Amino acid sequence: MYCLETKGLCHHYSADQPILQDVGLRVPEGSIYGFLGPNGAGKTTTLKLALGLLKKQQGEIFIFGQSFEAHRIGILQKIGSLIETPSLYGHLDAKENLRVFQKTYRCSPGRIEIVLRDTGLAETGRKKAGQFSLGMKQRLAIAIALLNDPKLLILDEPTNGLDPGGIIAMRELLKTLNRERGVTILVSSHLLSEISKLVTHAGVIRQGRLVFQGTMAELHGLGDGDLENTFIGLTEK
Amino acid sequence: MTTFIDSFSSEWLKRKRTAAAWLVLIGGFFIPLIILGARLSEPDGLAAANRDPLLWQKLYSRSWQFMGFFLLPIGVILATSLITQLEFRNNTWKQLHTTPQSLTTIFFAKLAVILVMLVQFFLLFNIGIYLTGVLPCLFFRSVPYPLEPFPWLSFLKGSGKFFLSSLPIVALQYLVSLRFKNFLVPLGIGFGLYVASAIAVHWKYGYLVPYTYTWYTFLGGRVHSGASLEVWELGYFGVLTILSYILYISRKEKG
Repeated sequence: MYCLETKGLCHHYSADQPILQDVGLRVPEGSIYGFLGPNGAGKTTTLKLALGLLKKQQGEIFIFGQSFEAHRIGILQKIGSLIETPSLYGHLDAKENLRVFQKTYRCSPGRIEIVLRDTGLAETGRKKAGQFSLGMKQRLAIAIALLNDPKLLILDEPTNGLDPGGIIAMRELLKTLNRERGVTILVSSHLLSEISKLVTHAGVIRQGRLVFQGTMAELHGLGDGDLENTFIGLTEK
Repeated sequence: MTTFIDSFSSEWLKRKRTAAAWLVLIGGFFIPLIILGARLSEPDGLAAANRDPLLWQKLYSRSWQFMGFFLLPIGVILATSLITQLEFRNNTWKQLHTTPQSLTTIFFAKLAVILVMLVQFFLLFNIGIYLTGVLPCLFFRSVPYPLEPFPWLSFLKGSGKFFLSSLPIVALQYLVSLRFKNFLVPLGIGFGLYVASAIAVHWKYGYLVPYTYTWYTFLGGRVHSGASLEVWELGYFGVLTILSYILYISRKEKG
């Protein structure tokens, strides 16, 4: 079963400017799925459509086997997400930011301490989120995404702004969540090297079309063995 | 209902330490503090004033004179716009719209926070008026505690009328602030309509401008219309809120 599946997803901002064309994303349950493509290929638009942030024009979206449109609230209860830049209330501290979302997810208040610890933000105290470094903001945004103990995590370029140590820590955290808690993770990136060590499956998008989808082993098998060359070949054809 | 309460309490938490929260606190006490300062600066007449059976009516009238014409509409324009623009300013619409709650819940929880803040403002303002009458006795031994009891009920009733007169401003500012990312747009529209209302208030059909109602309320609440002022106020509030809701839920891009 697919944790997230789109069928014939098309989107355009104007009639002569298609952003997505017949995208059929299939994210297997329990996988870490890397959604790859150059900037402007349509990754964020796909993820925004999957989360209901953009009004769907054509196609179908299924999450946990259910139509997103028909079961929006129930599905969102089990999803954590980070789309583009961190969404934080700059005048509130880390705990207050998490409390804002803890109330709407109606999850246990104890989750706040857990996600702060998991993302290395337990010591930020009363410091306002607006005064955080970009890396800290990114980690707090991930803490918000993890707050409701999601079954599916959708992360759009989650390593933006993180230093090398932060990238490694994030990778380990995502691997642990996937391995120990069975969280399915859909992570987008424009850099294959950044997520090739993390993902089990990949989808490559170019100019709004999905040009590859399969396991990492299948992606390896496509070219001369050099994953980077294969990726460049797929995205620059 | 539980979802709405959770959503409301989440929205309420967001207003913490915001300019809008300070505006309610400072705005509520601003005019009473000025009047208190004026009273304390003229201690000679204070004792007689506090014995005056009309003390509370005089203080109420002096306070509302500035509040009703100027500070209340400006404060409502600012506070509504500031609260609603929180999501634009922090780029948080996209995170809010991926939480498990309906758009209807989000819309009305935000509006409810603004209305509760308005109630909070009126309560603080009435407490402020009470303190302008009472505090001079703590500074001067010769000044007695006001002879007449504080008329809570009639003051709250009066505040209720001003609350109703503020509702159309809240609804229109809410609508515009939800639509436009640029904070200057709701402020510009708000201040523009405020100036228009100042001009229109003496016009026969001034009641058609929804920002004139705080003026009319202070002037006695009579308008040259078949319907009462309250009907116009609630009518505008209802229509503008429904329009705002439709525009909000039909937005193509939600973050």
